[in-house]
Parts: sequence; C-alpha cells; structure tokens
Amino acid sequence: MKYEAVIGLEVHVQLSTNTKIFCSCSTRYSGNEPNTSVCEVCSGQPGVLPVLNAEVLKRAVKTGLALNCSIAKRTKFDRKNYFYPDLPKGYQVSQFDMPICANGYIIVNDGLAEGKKDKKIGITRIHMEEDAGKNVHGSDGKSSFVDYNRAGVPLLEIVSEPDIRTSSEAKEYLEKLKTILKYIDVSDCNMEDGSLRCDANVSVRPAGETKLGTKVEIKNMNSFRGVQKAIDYEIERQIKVCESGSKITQETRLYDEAKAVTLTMRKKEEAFDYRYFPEPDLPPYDIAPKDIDAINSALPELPDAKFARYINEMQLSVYDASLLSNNPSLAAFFDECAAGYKNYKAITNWLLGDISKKMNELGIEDIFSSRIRPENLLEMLVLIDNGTISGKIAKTVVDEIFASGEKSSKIIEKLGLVQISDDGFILKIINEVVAENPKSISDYISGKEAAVGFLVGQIMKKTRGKANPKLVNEMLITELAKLKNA
Amino acid sequence: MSENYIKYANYKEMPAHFKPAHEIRKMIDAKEISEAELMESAVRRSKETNGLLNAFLSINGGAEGFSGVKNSFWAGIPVALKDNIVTKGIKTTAGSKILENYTPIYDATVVQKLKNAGAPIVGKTNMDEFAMGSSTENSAFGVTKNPWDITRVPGGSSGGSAVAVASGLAYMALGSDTGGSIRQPAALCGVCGMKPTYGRVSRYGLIAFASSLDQIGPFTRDALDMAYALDVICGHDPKDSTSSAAPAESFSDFVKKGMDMNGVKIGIPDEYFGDGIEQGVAERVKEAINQFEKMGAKIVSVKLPHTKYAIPVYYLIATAEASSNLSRFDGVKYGFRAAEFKNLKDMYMKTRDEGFGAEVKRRIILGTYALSSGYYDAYYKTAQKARTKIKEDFQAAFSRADLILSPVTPATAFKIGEKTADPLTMYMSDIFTISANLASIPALSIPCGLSGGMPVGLQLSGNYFQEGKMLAAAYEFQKRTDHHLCVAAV
Amino acid sequence: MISKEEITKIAGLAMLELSENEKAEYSSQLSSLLGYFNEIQDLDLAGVEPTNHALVADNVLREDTAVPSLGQNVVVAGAPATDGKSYRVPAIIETEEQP
Repeated sequence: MKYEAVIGLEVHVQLSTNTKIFCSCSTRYSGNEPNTSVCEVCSGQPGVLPVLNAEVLKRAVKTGLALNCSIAKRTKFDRKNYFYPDLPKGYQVSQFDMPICANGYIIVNDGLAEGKKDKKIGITRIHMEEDAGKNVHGSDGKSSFVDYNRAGVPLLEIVSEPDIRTSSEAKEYLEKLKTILKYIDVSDCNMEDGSLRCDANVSVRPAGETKLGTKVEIKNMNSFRGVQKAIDYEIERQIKVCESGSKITQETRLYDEAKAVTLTMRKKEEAFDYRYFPEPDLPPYDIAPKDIDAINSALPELPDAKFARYINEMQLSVYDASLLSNNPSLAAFFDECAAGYKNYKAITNWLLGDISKKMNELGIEDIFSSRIRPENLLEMLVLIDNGTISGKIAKTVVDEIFASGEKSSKIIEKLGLVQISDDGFILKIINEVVAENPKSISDYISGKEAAVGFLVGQIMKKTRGKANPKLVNEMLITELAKLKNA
Repeated sequence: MSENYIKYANYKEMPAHFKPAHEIRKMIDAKEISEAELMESAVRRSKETNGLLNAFLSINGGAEGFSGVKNSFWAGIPVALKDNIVTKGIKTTAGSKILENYTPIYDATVVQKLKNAGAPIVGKTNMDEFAMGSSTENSAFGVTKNPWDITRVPGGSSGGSAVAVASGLAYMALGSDTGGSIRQPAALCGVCGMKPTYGRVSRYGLIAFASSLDQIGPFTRDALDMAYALDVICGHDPKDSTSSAAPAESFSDFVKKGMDMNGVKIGIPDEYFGDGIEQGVAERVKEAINQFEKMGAKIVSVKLPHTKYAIPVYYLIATAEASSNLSRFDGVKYGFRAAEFKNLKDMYMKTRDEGFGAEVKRRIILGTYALSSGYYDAYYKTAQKARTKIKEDFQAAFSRADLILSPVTPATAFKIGEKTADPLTMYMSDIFTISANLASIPALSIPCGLSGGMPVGLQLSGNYFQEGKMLAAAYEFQKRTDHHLCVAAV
Repeated sequence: MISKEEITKIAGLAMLELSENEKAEYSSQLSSLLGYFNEIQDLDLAGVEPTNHALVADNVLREDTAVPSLGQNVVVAGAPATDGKSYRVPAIIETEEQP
C-alpha cells in the first residue's frame, strides 16, 4: 500500500528584543554565567507580577502581518500549568483561546525550482509566550542544574496547518519562515543557538484517505536538516508499524540526532492536563486598527514581492531573483545599488559571484557585517564602465575593499591599478613584443590565428594586466595585419 | 471577673500605645515623645505579649528602622506587616512551613513606600497559611489569640495584624484581603480594617493567594488613621499591571474636611439581614444604622440577589487561582525541600505534601479540580460568569445608594478549634465579606459595639474608588460614637 | 461524589503526595463542598460574559529598556540545593526507552 504523510509544524522563535517579555532583564546573556540575567520576576520569587514588554506585542503584530494573518482586536494571556524545573513559576504565561494572530499562510516553492508549483501552507495561529530556563544534565547522572537566564525571553509560537506532505516541504516552509522573519527583523532565527526551535506533528495514512491518522509529536530537532531527517525517520517508522498491522500510539517522541532515530518521551495517557485559565495578573490588550495600519505600512518589502519585482521589473533570471530575495541582507544591498545604477544584471553578477565567494571564504553571512558597502560596488561598476579598470582588475579591487573598506577609486590609485588606454604607450609595448617574438609573428602570417592570444598575453604581462584588453586586441590585430600585408 | 476591655472617654486618656497615629504624630512633633521611644516600646511590648498572643512571626531587633525622613506623617511611627508581604532581607513565611526559611531578595512596593515614609517595621505578623483561612488557626506557626478573649480566634487570615493594632503593638498594620481577611479580623478584634478597591494598592510583593481578589489594606485605630495609611500605600505601580491609574487624592485631607451626612444615601441589603445572624451583632448593626440616620443619612433598601451564590463563586475562583499561584513552591528555588526523595517527581510531591498544611492542600486540590479538563466549564467558567452577575448587583445597588452598610460577620469571634473540623462551616462565615472582593469594590470594617463582651464590626462598602467617601462617613460616625475607644485589656 | 481515584489523579496534577487518610478525607470533604457549590449550575448565565479579570485598565505595557539584573549570588543563594551557580535538582530523565 502507498502511504501519505501529514505534517504540521510548531515553530518557536525567540524575539530579539532588548529585554525579557515580562521583566526588564536583558536578553543578551549569551556566553554569560548561569543565572546572571535574572531578577525576582523571571526567577519566580513569591509575590512578583508580570508587565508586558511593548516591543513584544508590536513584533507579534508585525510577524502576523508578514505571515498574512488576521490580527486579533483583543488578545489576552493565559496560564499553562505544569511542573518542570526550568519553569520557575510552575506555569508558563502563554496564550490559549485568544491568540494575537490567526489564519495566515506562507507560500513555499515560489516557482523557484523548475517543475514545481507554488504551495500555500496555512498558519493556524501565532501566540506570544515566555521561554523556559535551561536544564543542564550533571555529569554524575544524579543531578540536573537549572539556569534561568533564558526564562522569560519572549517567544512567538507559530503553528502551521497540517498542510505539509514531505520532509523537504517542511524544510522549505522553515526556510521561507526564517527568511520572512529575518526580513522583518524580529528574531535572529538561528536553530543552532535555539532562537528558532521546531516541533513536528507527523501522521501517516493510506494515499487517498481523507481522515487523519494518529499523530505523533516529535521534539528536540536542532537543525533544518535534523527536522528533515527526523520526519523521514518517523514516516518510515509509522509506515512499518501500519504495515505490521499494529496501531500508531499517540505520543511525544524525542529526536536523537546522533543516532538519527526518534524515541518515546511520553504516551498520551500521561499527557498533561495543562489547566489553562486566563492570567489574572495581566489585563487584556486591545489592538487598535490604526496601530495595525502603522505597523503594516512600516513593513519592509517581503521576499515574495521582491522576487516578483526582480523578475518583472528588473528582468533578473528566476535563479538570481530567488537567490537574492531569499537573502534579506544581500537583497537590501542589491536594492541600494540598483537605486543608483541601472545595469541590474551586472550588480547581480558581482553580488552572487565574486562577492558571495569572498563572503564564503571569510565566513561572513550578512554582507553588511563585512566592509563592502553599496557605494563601493557602485563606484567600481562605474570605473569598469568608463574603462578605468578592467573586469579582471576589479576582482583585485573587490578583495581590497573586503580587506580595507576603502573607496574603489582610492584602491585603484593606491595599488596603481588604473587601466592603460594610452594608444601611444600600448603601441610601444606591441612593437616591443612583436620584435621579441619573431616565431609567433611568422606563425601568424602563415595562418595560425592562435598566436594572437599568446601575443596579447605577453602584452598584458608587460603592463602587469593594466592595459585595456579591448584596445590591446584591436591595435595588435591592426599591427599584425600591417605586417601580413607588408 | 474583671472586664476584658477598657473603655476610654477620649484619646487623651489612652496610654500612648493605644492612641491613634494622628495623636502620636502631634506628640512627636511637639517633642512629647521620641521616635526611638515609640519603636522601643512597640518592640518591647510585642516581645512581651508574643508568648501569649502569638501575633508576630518575627519581631524587629529594635535598633534599626529609622530613616530620618522628615515631613512625613508616618515617620517614626511603628507599623507591622502581614507575613505574606515580602521584605528584603527579613524572613517572610506567609505562615507556611514551605517558606520557613525564605528571606526575600526584594521589597514589596508597599514596603518601599513605608520605608520612604520613614515608618519603622515592628515585625511580621502571623496569618493563616498563604492567607487561606478565617481564624489564623491555619498558620504553620501556631494560632494567634484574640486579645479580648484568648480562648477565641482573632479572625483571619490577617489575624496577627489585627491583634497587633488591637493590642497596641503597632499603630498601623498591613494585611491582605482576598475574601474578608482584613475586615473580618478587624471586626473580631475591635479595630478598623479596609480592603481598598482592587488596583488601588500595588500587589507587587504580596505573596499571591487569588490574584484577581487579593488586595493589601491597613488596620488602624480609627478612620482618620486609615485615611493616612491609604495616603501612603496607594497609587499606581508600574510593576503591577493590575494597579489602577486612578488619581489618588489625599484621603486624610478629605476626611479631615468633614462630610455633611445630610442626604447621603446608605443602602441596606435585605439579603444580609436574614437568619443566622447572632442577635447581638444584628442589634449593634441596627443601632449603627439608627446613628447614621440621626446624622442625616437617608436609609434605603437595596437588593443583592446573587448573594447566595457568592460563597461557591468565591471558593471556585479563589482556589483555582491559588492552585496555580502556589505551584512555584516546588523545592527548587527557595524555601523548604523534603529531605528524602527517589527522583524529581518524588521530590516535588514530598516537598509539597510536607511543606503545605491541610487547608492549603485542600484548596489546591479543589482549585486543581475546578480547572481540570472536563470540569473547567462547569466550575471555573460558570463561576466567572456568576461573578459578573454579582458585580452587576452592586452596580445596580450603587445607583440607588452612595454606601452600603452591613454586618461584617454573622457572629463575634468563635472559640479556637470550634470550626476546624468542617471547612464548609468555616467558609460560610465569610458570607458578608467575599462579595466586595468578587465585585472589586472597596469595603471597610469599623467597631460598632460589643456583643457578649466581644467586638462587633460594621461594614461600609462603596463603589469603585470611593474610599474617600467611605472613610469620611466612617469618621463622622466615630466623631459621634465611642466604640473605637473601647480596647482589649491586654 | 469525588472518588479517591479522582483525588489521586488531581493530586498528581497538583504534585501533592497525599496519604490514604488525606485522600479519604479530601474525597468526602470535596464531595460535600462541590455538592453545595453546584448551586451555581441553577443560574441562568446564557449570554453572560465571564469576569476573567478584576477591575483593570487594558493595554498595560512597559518600555523595552533593560535594567541591571540581580545576579547569580543573589538569586541562587536562597535555593535548597545549588552548585553555587545553578539550582540543583534530581536528574531529569526525558526518554522512556533506550535505543
């Protein structure tokens, strides 16, 4: 029998606000000692009360708008009650029946890869909540240690509809979600450091069946690749169970990355009864339409719109447009350049070619954290166009910009890279080379055109690459023609 | 048998420890008494009487507490705090074994305000564990005795604070009131007590029992002191999202101006004067009504038809919130942890079983049940809707009356141990006080005479943020009566 | 009527290890309390909004500006068990089956 998988994803993203969601402790504790970014509120001391960080509410609305959600007119927090050492109050302040955003979607594939169609993955809801602390297992196996630095960091939980069918679709959904969240600058979205976390609900059913199978929740995946592998493993495991005639148990399973398997964490009968109820310490929030409008109008252009513009208005290739639009900082860099320079293809070639290569070499992810700025590239492009430097020399200029951050014109001057277009000088060099290479000349005269390439090479060598190659070519052909006809 | 109380003709006759703070303020300003003498006397008297009364769980060493604050009414006037109000560096137990060794790392907002006002803290007062109780019998550290009769309870849960003021151990004491925990012990100990409007006083640093009902309030000798107390503790707190931004006038200025009681409409709820009220209590309250009428007030009848649902609604909401609020006491971060356990879950279960007393566990179980899957709608949600009806009753009543007058309790202080066997009987004694918490309105209790030699309290309630009017009316009543001049012979 | 089994389940949710005596006592007390509390089921509450929050103003927010934290030595000092930096608890075991 053929089976089909039904997958829904629950993504938690940490918002990159300055402070925690309900207290004024800093969220910048990375690398610090445990329990240093804590106060009475986030360590759950008796008598403390929460006060919502305005920026959290704003970013939640921003995220909802970017993910095509409707924004609640009125929203409130609820308590989710359970005991765990990383939960200082014995409940998590979260949202239950009045989440801030609902009914959104993300479009995956975007027609980027040939032969695939766009697919809309629904977003059921987005809600705000507080992160838990961190449990670290002791080396003796008898103790665990609890650190509340992370407790109270603002989270958005983004819940997808069970619209995903394959592990690669899940990966595409996550990549697109990450791109959008980076565009709107609400989160660092780094799965390795935990600022983006993903749980998957996976079930299988015979192909063609419309009823949902028993779902299994998978936790503890630490990379997009891990999500993909865990889902693949789980689909295969569930199909095996079905084919053996057994029933799938509703449960939560943990992904073991080292062994690439999922393991039972808890069965449904042990499922928690979270006893959600409205958080009495936090009054509700009314979201005014004018505030939503203000946030909406301040939203940056999002990747789908950018992609369409690159294709339709700037005539970039699908491939280039998708590479650019999926990289928020590169796209921003491109847009800045494109505002002052109309050869979009040239900008794209440099950005996706030499510049990306250089960034890879240097391990730089965000172009704006390197030394190159749009004005450096623009100046260089103009210098190429007006013949001051050759494309080849420009590669040296790029290297130097990355090293020093200096203006292209200054680099050219400093390193003496100005292209030689003085035909008197070039003619002098041609004459020298002709005199020094009688064999090549006779080859040429006897019809061996390849000799031209060798001679050009010799000329460029003598000028240390600075001679205008186009001019060299033209003048050499003219001189050779004279010799041939003489 | 000698009388268990002394009735003074006026404040002048009273020894300094019984005088109201506004008299003490004048004496300090006139250099008739020093701040150091006051604190020394309060600490000494508290230590001397604690073996008998057990009003305090901890008493200040005595030396510290003076800030040299000037131009503050409360500067140098000793106050006491219920032990569920956190004090940085001073042990705070909420009357529970689970917090036996807990020393807070921050000050409650009200504590900060009192410190800023220069009021020295005599000590932390005894209470029913986590404020759950009406008798102070549920303290893990022994019952507090009623100074009028030490075989009787002082009421609760703020029994220690009521006794501290009633016995002249502090001029003002803070308590917390979730269902009557200030007003009921004030009534049973013959002092004044007030639960302000929800949000009037910051709850930041009050160890939560039921977050939507809890409110900090003062115990004082008279209504003018109450106004001074409210002046210092109320106001918006950016650390408490439920604290009100309503402007706080100077209550003491308002009360001192005096109030013309002519035409003030005082509502009498029929539902509060049915069967089951001790005769002496009914008589004293009736006399108080007559007194107000004599002062020119217009007595009108009001209806609070949902009163009979108040106890179920209250106990369902309060225990549900409490079950969640008390989850943080898990043996991980502070306080008590069981000595022996097999694993993490066992540590939790043993710590909480050994750390909490019987009433607290009973309420956690009840509240957990009311919130649990399958019962939430029938219990918690239904109670929240019924709460709306109770609120509406009061809004309708306040459209007919400026103030509502009623008894505080159906009876005077009961015997220690009398009601511990049956929780429902104990819960029923809260019948007249819990509605104010459910409706978020302010209510106060002032003495209105004795029944069988024990104090009787009179409750005045007002609409939201009408504390000024309530206090002024109460002070007009006290100007013309002498019930507040009657004190326990400790 | 709330059975002892139900009390045991609820006590588990509330992390309370009750003795058999306590379970029996709470089962009978809670049964009678809830019997009385069931009065509220008689109310006609159709269309009535629940009072989820007491008298409060909506939209209470705080600026996103950090203030210094209390620090490790202050926060961890009061804990029943620590290594001086973190709270120490019995080992947390997450999975049931061994691979």
